Amino acid sequence: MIFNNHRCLRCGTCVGSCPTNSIFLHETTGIAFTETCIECALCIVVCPVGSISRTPGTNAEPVCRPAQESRV
Amino acid sequence: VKTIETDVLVVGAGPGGSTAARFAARNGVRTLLIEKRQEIGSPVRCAEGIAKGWLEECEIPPDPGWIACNPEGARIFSPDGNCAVIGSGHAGDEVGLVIERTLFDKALARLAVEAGARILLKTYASNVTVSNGTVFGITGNSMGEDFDIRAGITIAADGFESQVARWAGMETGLETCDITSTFQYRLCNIECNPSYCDFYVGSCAPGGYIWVFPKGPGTANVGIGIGASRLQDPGQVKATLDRWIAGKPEFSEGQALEMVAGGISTNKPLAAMVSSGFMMVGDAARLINPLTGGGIVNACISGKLAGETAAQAVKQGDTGKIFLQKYEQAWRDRMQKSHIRNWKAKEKYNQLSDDSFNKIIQTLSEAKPHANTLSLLLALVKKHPALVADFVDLLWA
Repeated sequence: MIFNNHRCLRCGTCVGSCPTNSIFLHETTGIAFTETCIECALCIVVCPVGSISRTPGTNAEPVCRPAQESRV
Repeated sequence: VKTIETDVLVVGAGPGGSTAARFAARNGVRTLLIEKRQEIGSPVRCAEGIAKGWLEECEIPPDPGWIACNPEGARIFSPDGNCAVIGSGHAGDEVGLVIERTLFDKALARLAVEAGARILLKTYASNVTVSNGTVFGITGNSMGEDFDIRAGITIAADGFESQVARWAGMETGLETCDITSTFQYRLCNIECNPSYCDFYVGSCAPGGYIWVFPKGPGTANVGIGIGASRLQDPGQVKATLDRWIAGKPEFSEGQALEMVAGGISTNKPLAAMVSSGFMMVGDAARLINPLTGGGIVNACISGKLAGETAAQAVKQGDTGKIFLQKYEQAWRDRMQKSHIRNWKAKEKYNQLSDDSFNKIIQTLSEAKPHANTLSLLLALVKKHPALVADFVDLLWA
Protein backbone atom coordinates (compact mmCIF):
# COMPACT_ATOMS: atom_id res chain seq x y z
CA MET A 1 0.00 0.00 0.00
CA ILE A 2 1.15 3.53 -0.76
CA PHE A 3 0.25 6.20 1.73
CA ASN A 4 0.05 9.96 1.17
CA ASN A 5 0.93 11.51 4.52
CA HIS A 6 0.17 15.03 3.34
CA ARG A 7 -3.46 14.18 2.71
CA CYS A 8 -4.04 12.03 5.85
CA LEU A 9 -6.24 13.54 8.58
CA ARG A 10 -5.19 10.95 11.24
CA CYS A 11 -8.84 10.01 11.62
CA GLY A 12 -8.23 6.29 12.19
CA THR A 13 -10.97 5.07 9.86
CA CYS A 14 -8.53 2.71 8.11
CA VAL A 15 -7.12 1.48 11.42
CA GLY A 16 -10.48 0.52 12.89
CA SER A 17 -11.70 -1.01 9.62
CA CYS A 18 -8.66 -3.15 8.74
CA PRO A 19 -9.71 -6.82 8.84
CA THR A 20 -6.20 -8.03 9.62
CA ASN A 21 -5.29 -5.27 12.09
CA SER A 22 -2.37 -4.31 9.88
CA ILE A 23 -2.53 -0.52 10.12
CA PHE A 24 -1.33 1.60 13.00
CA LEU A 25 -1.51 5.30 13.67
CA HIS A 26 2.08 6.45 13.66
CA GLU A 27 3.27 9.62 15.34
CA THR A 28 5.38 10.98 12.52
CA THR A 29 4.28 9.15 9.39
CA GLY A 30 0.49 9.26 9.96
CA ILE A 31 -0.13 5.56 9.53
CA ALA A 32 2.05 2.51 9.06
CA PHE A 33 1.32 -0.90 7.56
CA THR A 34 2.57 -4.17 9.01
CA GLU A 35 3.61 -7.29 7.12
CA THR A 36 0.25 -8.91 7.83
CA CYS A 37 -1.45 -6.63 5.25
CA ILE A 38 -3.25 -8.76 2.65
CA GLU A 39 -3.76 -5.88 0.19
CA CYS A 40 -7.53 -6.27 0.48
CA ALA A 41 -7.85 -2.57 -0.28
CA LEU A 42 -10.65 -1.86 2.17
CA CYS A 43 -8.51 0.96 3.58
CA ILE A 44 -8.30 2.52 0.13
CA VAL A 45 -12.06 2.95 -0.12
CA VAL A 46 -12.86 3.74 3.51
CA CYS A 47 -10.25 6.50 3.68
CA PRO A 48 -12.52 9.55 3.36
CA VAL A 49 -9.87 11.66 1.66
CA GLY A 50 -8.15 9.11 -0.59
CA SER A 51 -4.77 9.08 1.11
CA ILE A 52 -4.08 5.40 0.42
CA SER A 53 -3.49 3.74 -2.93
CA ARG A 54 -2.40 0.34 -4.14
CA THR A 55 1.24 -0.55 -4.55
CA PRO A 56 1.93 -0.73 -8.32
CA GLY A 57 2.44 -4.27 -9.51
CA THR A 58 0.21 -5.92 -6.94
CA ASN A 59 -2.84 -7.45 -8.46
CA ALA A 60 -5.03 -8.39 -5.55
CA GLU A 61 -8.42 -7.85 -7.09
CA PRO A 62 -11.29 -7.00 -4.79
CA VAL A 63 -11.78 -3.44 -3.69
CA CYS A 64 -15.08 -4.14 -1.97
CA ARG A 65 -15.59 -7.74 -1.13
CA PRO A 66 -18.72 -9.46 0.12
CA ALA A 67 -19.09 -9.00 3.84
CA GLN A 68 -18.30 -12.57 4.86
CA GLU A 69 -14.97 -12.64 3.09
CA SER A 70 -13.74 -9.44 4.64
CA ARG A 71 -13.18 -11.05 7.99
CA VAL A 72 -9.99 -12.90 8.74
CA VAL B 1 11.21 1.75 33.68
CA LYS B 2 8.94 3.79 35.89
CA THR B 3 5.84 1.98 37.16
CA ILE B 4 2.56 3.58 38.16
CA GLU B 5 0.00 1.60 40.15
CA THR B 6 -3.73 2.20 40.14
CA ASP B 7 -6.94 0.31 40.75
CA VAL B 8 -8.67 1.35 37.54
CA LEU B 9 -6.93 2.57 34.39
CA VAL B 10 -9.00 4.20 31.64
CA VAL B 11 -7.35 4.58 28.23
CA GLY B 12 -8.81 7.52 26.32
CA ALA B 13 -10.47 10.68 27.67
CA GLY B 14 -13.45 10.97 25.33
CA PRO B 15 -17.00 10.93 26.69
CA GLY B 16 -16.92 7.16 27.38
CA GLY B 17 -13.54 7.20 29.12
CA SER B 18 -14.23 10.25 31.25
CA THR B 19 -17.61 8.89 32.32
CA ALA B 20 -16.10 5.50 33.19
CA ALA B 21 -13.39 7.25 35.20
CA ARG B 22 -15.93 9.41 37.02
CA PHE B 23 -18.16 6.53 38.10
CA ALA B 24 -15.17 4.42 39.15
CA ALA B 25 -13.55 7.23 41.13
CA ARG B 26 -16.70 8.36 42.89
CA ASN B 27 -17.11 4.85 44.24
CA GLY B 28 -13.84 5.17 46.04
CA VAL B 29 -11.18 3.41 43.98
CA ARG B 30 -7.93 4.89 42.65
CA THR B 31 -8.62 5.86 39.04
CA LEU B 32 -6.20 7.04 36.37
CA LEU B 33 -7.39 8.43 33.01
CA ILE B 34 -4.79 8.65 30.25
CA GLU B 35 -5.14 10.63 27.02
CA LYS B 36 -2.70 10.43 24.13
CA ARG B 37 -3.30 13.99 22.97
CA GLN B 38 -2.20 17.19 24.65
CA GLU B 39 -5.74 18.50 24.91
CA ILE B 40 -8.94 16.70 25.87
CA GLY B 41 -11.69 17.17 23.28
CA SER B 42 -9.40 18.13 20.42
CA PRO B 43 -9.38 17.57 17.53
CA VAL B 44 -13.14 17.16 17.22
CA ARG B 45 -14.20 14.10 15.27
CA CYS B 46 -17.94 14.35 15.60
CA ALA B 47 -21.08 15.86 14.05
CA GLU B 48 -21.87 17.13 17.57
CA GLY B 49 -25.61 16.41 17.63
CA ILE B 50 -26.92 14.68 20.75
CA ALA B 51 -30.29 13.82 22.26
CA LYS B 52 -31.20 15.42 25.58
CA GLY B 53 -33.12 12.70 27.39
CA TRP B 54 -30.18 10.65 28.64
CA LEU B 55 -28.07 13.42 30.18
CA GLU B 56 -29.79 13.09 33.54
CA GLU B 57 -29.21 9.33 33.64
CA CYS B 58 -25.49 9.99 33.30
CA GLU B 59 -25.65 12.90 35.74
CA ILE B 60 -24.40 15.42 33.19
CA PRO B 61 -25.85 18.85 34.00
CA PRO B 62 -26.59 20.74 30.74
CA ASP B 63 -24.26 23.71 30.57
CA PRO B 64 -24.64 26.69 28.19
CA GLY B 65 -20.84 26.59 28.02
CA TRP B 66 -20.91 23.51 25.79
CA ILE B 67 -24.30 23.92 24.11
CA ALA B 68 -23.80 25.53 20.69
CA CYS B 69 -27.38 25.39 19.50
CA ASN B 70 -30.73 24.19 20.79
CA PRO B 71 -32.73 23.37 17.65
CA GLU B 72 -36.47 22.82 17.88
CA GLY B 73 -36.43 19.75 15.68
CA ALA B 74 -35.07 17.81 12.73
CA ARG B 75 -35.89 18.01 9.04
CA ILE B 76 -35.45 14.98 6.83
CA PHE B 77 -35.10 15.78 3.14
CA SER B 78 -36.01 13.27 0.45
CA PRO B 79 -34.11 12.92 -2.83
CA ASP B 80 -36.89 14.87 -4.61
CA GLY B 81 -36.61 17.79 -2.19
CA ASN B 82 -39.58 17.24 0.14
CA CYS B 83 -38.98 17.56 3.81
CA ALA B 84 -40.53 16.03 6.90
CA VAL B 85 -40.26 17.95 10.14
CA ILE B 86 -39.90 16.11 13.41
CA GLY B 87 -40.15 17.98 16.71
CA SER B 88 -37.14 17.46 18.94
CA GLY B 89 -39.31 15.78 21.55
CA HIS B 90 -39.97 13.03 19.02
CA ALA B 91 -36.72 12.83 17.15
CA GLY B 92 -35.67 9.86 19.21
CA ASP B 93 -31.97 9.49 19.68
CA GLU B 94 -31.00 11.70 16.77
CA VAL B 95 -31.14 15.33 17.78
CA GLY B 96 -31.88 17.64 20.62
CA LEU B 97 -28.77 19.68 21.13
CA VAL B 98 -25.80 20.65 19.02
CA ILE B 99 -22.78 20.82 21.29
CA GLU B 100 -19.15 21.98 21.32
CA ARG B 101 -17.21 18.75 21.74
CA THR B 102 -13.98 20.50 22.71
CA LEU B 103 -15.81 21.94 25.73
CA PHE B 104 -18.18 19.02 26.37
CA ASP B 105 -15.30 16.54 26.60
CA LYS B 106 -13.43 18.81 28.98
CA ALA B 107 -16.56 19.20 31.13
CA LEU B 108 -16.89 15.41 31.42
CA ALA B 109 -13.19 15.07 32.27
CA ARG B 110 -13.60 17.77 34.91
CA LEU B 111 -16.50 15.81 36.43
CA ALA B 112 -14.20 12.78 36.57
CA VAL B 113 -11.51 14.79 38.33
CA GLU B 114 -14.00 16.21 40.81
CA ALA B 115 -15.01 12.63 41.58
CA GLY B 116 -11.38 11.82 42.37
CA ALA B 117 -9.84 10.63 39.09
CA ARG B 118 -6.35 11.69 37.97
CA ILE B 119 -5.46 12.55 34.39
CA LEU B 120 -2.24 12.12 32.43
CA LEU B 121 -2.13 13.95 29.09
CA LYS B 122 0.11 13.14 26.13
CA THR B 123 0.25 9.62 27.45
CA TYR B 124 -0.40 6.65 25.22
CA ALA B 125 -0.55 2.89 25.56
CA SER B 126 1.74 0.89 23.29
CA ASN B 127 0.70 -2.54 24.50
CA VAL B 128 -1.39 -4.36 27.05
CA THR B 129 0.21 -6.45 29.81
CA VAL B 130 -1.45 -9.86 29.70
CA SER B 131 -0.62 -12.93 31.73
CA ASN B 132 -2.60 -16.16 31.61
CA GLY B 133 -5.48 -14.37 29.93
CA THR B 134 -5.70 -11.64 32.56
CA VAL B 135 -4.95 -7.99 31.76
CA PHE B 136 -2.71 -6.29 34.35
CA GLY B 137 -2.39 -2.83 32.79
CA ILE B 138 -0.40 -1.39 29.93
CA THR B 139 3.03 -0.39 28.81
CA GLY B 140 3.20 3.06 27.36
CA ASN B 141 4.81 6.43 27.11
CA SER B 142 4.11 9.70 28.88
CA MET B 143 5.66 12.91 27.54
CA GLY B 144 8.42 10.92 25.89
CA GLU B 145 9.18 8.69 28.86
CA ASP B 146 8.49 4.95 28.74
CA PHE B 147 6.60 3.56 31.70
CA ASP B 148 4.33 0.74 32.90
CA ILE B 149 0.93 1.13 34.47
CA ARG B 150 -0.21 -1.75 36.66
CA ALA B 151 -3.97 -1.74 37.13
CA GLY B 152 -6.56 -4.06 38.63
CA ILE B 153 -8.85 -3.21 35.77
CA THR B 154 -8.01 -1.66 32.41
CA ILE B 155 -10.86 0.03 30.54
CA ALA B 156 -10.40 0.55 26.80
CA ALA B 157 -12.05 3.82 25.74
CA ASP B 158 -9.79 4.51 22.78
CA GLY B 159 -12.41 4.91 20.13
CA PHE B 160 -13.21 3.36 16.75
CA GLU B 161 -9.55 2.63 16.03
CA SER B 162 -9.10 0.93 19.41
CA GLN B 163 -5.83 -0.95 19.61
CA VAL B 164 -6.11 -1.64 23.32
CA ALA B 165 -9.08 -3.97 22.81
CA ARG B 166 -7.25 -5.88 20.09
CA TRP B 167 -4.06 -6.18 22.16
CA ALA B 168 -6.19 -7.57 24.97
CA GLY B 169 -7.33 -10.29 22.59
CA MET B 170 -10.92 -9.10 22.18
CA GLU B 171 -12.77 -9.88 18.96
CA THR B 172 -13.72 -6.46 17.59
CA GLY B 173 -13.41 -7.11 13.83
CA LEU B 174 -16.11 -5.64 11.62
CA GLU B 175 -17.78 -6.82 8.45
CA THR B 176 -17.46 -4.33 5.60
CA CYS B 177 -21.24 -3.85 5.66
CA ASP B 178 -21.00 -2.72 9.29
CA ILE B 179 -18.54 0.13 8.64
CA THR B 180 -19.43 3.68 7.63
CA SER B 181 -16.84 6.19 6.49
CA THR B 182 -17.53 9.83 7.28
CA PHE B 183 -16.21 13.25 6.37
CA GLN B 184 -17.32 16.66 7.60
CA TYR B 185 -16.61 20.35 7.19
CA ARG B 186 -17.42 23.08 9.63
CA LEU B 187 -18.68 25.63 7.12
CA CYS B 188 -19.02 29.31 7.91
CA ASN B 189 -20.55 32.13 5.90
CA ILE B 190 -23.47 29.95 4.79
CA GLU B 191 -27.22 30.23 4.98
CA CYS B 192 -28.54 27.71 7.48
CA ASN B 193 -31.55 27.49 9.76
CA PRO B 194 -30.53 27.34 13.42
CA SER B 195 -33.94 25.88 14.32
CA TYR B 196 -33.31 22.52 12.68
CA CYS B 197 -30.82 19.72 12.32
CA ASP B 198 -31.14 18.66 8.69
CA PHE B 199 -30.73 15.17 7.26
CA TYR B 200 -30.57 14.33 3.55
CA VAL B 201 -31.29 10.69 2.68
CA GLY B 202 -31.12 8.57 -0.45
CA SER B 203 -28.53 8.13 -3.16
CA CYS B 204 -26.75 11.37 -2.18
CA ALA B 205 -25.17 9.24 0.58
CA PRO B 206 -25.55 5.49 -0.10
CA GLY B 207 -25.90 3.52 3.13
CA GLY B 208 -25.73 6.72 5.17
CA TYR B 209 -26.89 10.31 5.02
CA ILE B 210 -25.74 13.90 4.73
CA TRP B 211 -26.21 16.12 7.77
CA VAL B 212 -26.28 19.87 8.34
CA PHE B 213 -26.17 20.64 12.05
CA PRO B 214 -26.27 24.36 12.92
CA LYS B 215 -23.47 25.54 15.19
CA GLY B 216 -24.40 29.23 15.34
CA PRO B 217 -25.16 32.13 13.00
CA GLY B 218 -24.17 31.16 9.46
CA THR B 219 -22.12 28.19 10.66
CA ALA B 220 -22.87 24.48 10.53
CA ASN B 221 -21.30 21.05 10.60
CA VAL B 222 -21.93 19.71 7.10
CA GLY B 223 -20.96 16.10 6.76
CA ILE B 224 -21.56 12.79 5.04
CA GLY B 225 -21.47 9.12 5.96
CA ILE B 226 -21.34 6.40 3.29
CA GLY B 227 -21.51 2.66 3.95
CA ALA B 228 -18.13 1.02 3.26
CA SER B 229 -19.74 -1.68 1.13
CA ARG B 230 -21.06 1.06 -1.18
CA LEU B 231 -17.65 2.66 -1.71
CA GLN B 232 -15.60 2.02 -4.83
CA ASP B 233 -13.20 4.88 -5.46
CA PRO B 234 -10.40 6.33 -3.34
CA GLY B 235 -11.47 9.59 -1.73
CA GLN B 236 -15.11 9.01 -2.67
CA VAL B 237 -16.49 10.13 0.69
CA LYS B 238 -15.00 13.63 0.56
CA ALA B 239 -15.57 13.94 -3.17
CA THR B 240 -19.27 13.07 -2.81
CA LEU B 241 -19.77 15.70 -0.11
CA ASP B 242 -17.84 18.29 -2.14
CA ARG B 243 -20.11 17.70 -5.14
CA TRP B 244 -23.23 17.91 -2.99
CA ILE B 245 -22.14 21.16 -1.36
CA ALA B 246 -21.25 22.65 -4.75
CA GLY B 247 -24.86 22.06 -5.86
CA LYS B 248 -26.37 23.95 -2.92
CA PRO B 249 -26.80 27.71 -3.51
CA GLU B 250 -27.07 28.33 0.26
CA PHE B 251 -23.50 27.09 0.69
CA SER B 252 -22.01 28.87 -2.32
CA GLU B 253 -20.18 31.51 -0.23
CA GLY B 254 -19.19 29.02 2.48
CA GLN B 255 -15.64 28.35 3.59
CA ALA B 256 -14.45 25.52 5.81
CA LEU B 257 -13.05 26.35 9.23
CA GLU B 258 -12.26 22.74 9.96
CA MET B 259 -12.41 19.34 8.32
CA VAL B 260 -12.71 16.09 10.16
CA ALA B 261 -13.20 12.45 9.27
CA GLY B 262 -13.77 9.20 11.03
CA GLY B 263 -14.98 5.63 10.94
CA ILE B 264 -18.26 4.49 12.44
CA SER B 265 -19.23 0.93 13.32
CA THR B 266 -22.83 -0.08 12.58
CA ASN B 267 -22.70 -3.66 13.82
CA LYS B 268 -24.78 -5.81 16.13
CA PRO B 269 -23.51 -5.95 19.74
CA LEU B 270 -20.22 -7.80 20.22
CA ALA B 271 -20.23 -11.26 21.77
CA ALA B 272 -18.00 -10.08 24.62
CA MET B 273 -17.06 -6.70 26.05
CA VAL B 274 -14.98 -7.87 29.02
CA SER B 275 -12.25 -10.31 29.92
CA SER B 276 -10.31 -10.80 33.15
CA GLY B 277 -9.08 -7.41 34.33
CA PHE B 278 -10.39 -5.78 31.18
CA MET B 279 -13.47 -3.92 29.95
CA MET B 280 -14.26 -1.79 26.92
CA VAL B 281 -16.73 1.03 26.45
CA GLY B 282 -18.14 3.34 23.79
CA ASP B 283 -16.80 3.31 20.23
CA ALA B 284 -13.99 0.95 21.32
CA ALA B 285 -16.69 -1.58 22.26
CA ARG B 286 -18.44 -0.94 18.92
CA LEU B 287 -21.38 0.61 20.76
CA ILE B 288 -22.39 3.20 18.17
CA ASN B 289 -26.07 3.46 17.24
CA PRO B 290 -26.06 1.50 13.96
CA LEU B 291 -28.90 3.53 12.44
CA THR B 292 -27.89 7.09 13.28
CA GLY B 293 -24.15 6.71 13.81
CA GLY B 294 -24.48 8.52 17.14
CA GLY B 295 -21.89 7.41 19.67
CA ILE B 296 -21.95 9.78 22.64
CA VAL B 297 -25.04 8.43 24.40
CA ASN B 298 -23.81 4.86 24.14
CA ALA B 299 -20.33 5.87 25.24
CA CYS B 300 -21.54 7.67 28.36
CA ILE B 301 -24.06 5.04 29.41
CA SER B 302 -21.59 2.19 28.86
CA GLY B 303 -18.93 4.26 30.63
CA LYS B 304 -21.15 4.76 33.64
CA LEU B 305 -22.05 1.07 33.87
CA ALA B 306 -18.42 -0.01 33.38
CA GLY B 307 -17.10 2.47 35.96
CA GLU B 308 -19.60 1.33 38.56
CA THR B 309 -18.83 -2.34 38.00
CA ALA B 310 -15.08 -1.69 38.00
CA ALA B 311 -15.26 0.01 41.40
CA GLN B 312 -17.35 -2.83 42.85
CA ALA B 313 -14.93 -5.39 41.48
CA VAL B 314 -11.88 -3.67 42.97
CA LYS B 315 -13.54 -3.26 46.35
CA GLN B 316 -14.58 -6.90 46.43
CA GLY B 317 -11.15 -8.03 45.29
CA ASP B 318 -12.52 -9.89 42.29
CA THR B 319 -11.57 -8.46 38.90
CA GLY B 320 -12.14 -11.72 37.03
CA LYS B 321 -14.13 -12.04 33.86
CA ILE B 322 -17.23 -13.47 35.57
CA PHE B 323 -17.51 -10.49 37.92
CA LEU B 324 -16.87 -7.96 35.16
CA GLN B 325 -19.63 -9.54 33.10
CA LYS B 326 -21.99 -7.69 35.44
CA TYR B 327 -21.15 -4.64 33.36
CA GLU B 328 -21.83 -6.46 30.14
CA GLN B 329 -25.15 -7.73 31.46
CA ALA B 330 -26.13 -4.28 32.72
CA TRP B 331 -25.38 -2.86 29.27
CA ARG B 332 -27.40 -5.59 27.56
CA ASP B 333 -30.33 -5.02 29.90
CA ARG B 334 -30.22 -1.31 29.25
CA MET B 335 -29.32 -1.01 25.57
CA GLN B 336 -29.17 -4.29 23.66
CA LYS B 337 -32.78 -4.45 22.54
CA SER B 338 -32.76 -0.98 20.99
CA HIS B 339 -29.28 -1.55 19.55
CA ILE B 340 -30.41 -4.66 17.70
CA ARG B 341 -33.59 -2.93 16.57
CA ASN B 342 -31.53 -0.06 15.20
CA TRP B 343 -29.20 -2.50 13.45
CA LYS B 344 -32.17 -4.17 11.76
CA ALA B 345 -33.55 -0.76 10.83
CA LYS B 346 -30.19 0.12 9.29
CA GLU B 347 -30.28 -3.02 7.17
CA LYS B 348 -33.75 -2.04 5.88
CA TYR B 349 -32.76 1.61 5.45
CA ASN B 350 -29.81 0.59 3.29
CA GLN B 351 -32.17 -1.23 0.91
CA LEU B 352 -34.53 1.71 0.33
CA SER B 353 -34.57 3.25 -3.12
CA ASP B 354 -34.82 6.95 -3.76
CA ASP B 355 -38.41 6.34 -4.84
CA SER B 356 -39.20 4.74 -1.47
CA PHE B 357 -37.57 7.61 0.42
CA ASN B 358 -39.63 10.05 -1.67
CA LYS B 359 -42.88 8.26 -0.83
CA ILE B 360 -42.11 7.96 2.87
CA ILE B 361 -41.08 11.57 3.30
CA GLN B 362 -43.95 12.85 1.17
CA THR B 363 -46.34 11.08 3.54
CA LEU B 364 -44.56 12.31 6.65
CA SER B 365 -44.52 15.87 5.33
CA GLU B 366 -48.30 15.81 4.95
CA ALA B 367 -48.75 14.94 8.60
CA LYS B 368 -49.24 17.85 10.93
CA PRO B 369 -46.01 19.37 12.21
CA HIS B 370 -44.62 17.92 15.40
CA ALA B 371 -46.90 14.93 15.21
CA ASN B 372 -45.66 12.10 17.36
CA THR B 373 -43.88 9.06 15.99
CA LEU B 374 -46.92 6.80 16.27
CA SER B 375 -49.23 9.09 14.32
CA LEU B 376 -46.57 9.45 11.63
CA LEU B 377 -46.29 5.69 11.34
CA LEU B 378 -50.05 5.27 11.16
CA ALA B 379 -50.17 7.81 8.34
CA LEU B 380 -47.50 5.84 6.52
CA VAL B 381 -49.26 2.50 6.98
CA LYS B 382 -52.45 3.98 5.59
CA LYS B 383 -50.85 5.43 2.50
CA HIS B 384 -48.12 2.95 1.61
CA PRO B 385 -48.98 -0.39 3.19
CA ALA B 386 -46.56 -2.32 0.98
CA LEU B 387 -43.68 -0.05 1.89
CA VAL B 388 -44.37 -0.29 5.56
CA ALA B 389 -44.92 -4.04 5.68
CA ASP B 390 -41.18 -4.43 5.54
CA PHE B 391 -40.77 -2.43 8.71
CA VAL B 392 -43.54 -3.91 10.79
CA ASP B 393 -41.35 -6.57 12.38
CA LEU B 394 -39.04 -3.80 13.51
CA LEU B 395 -41.71 -1.76 15.18
CA TRP B 396 -42.80 -4.62 17.37
CA ALA B 397 -39.35 -6.11 17.87
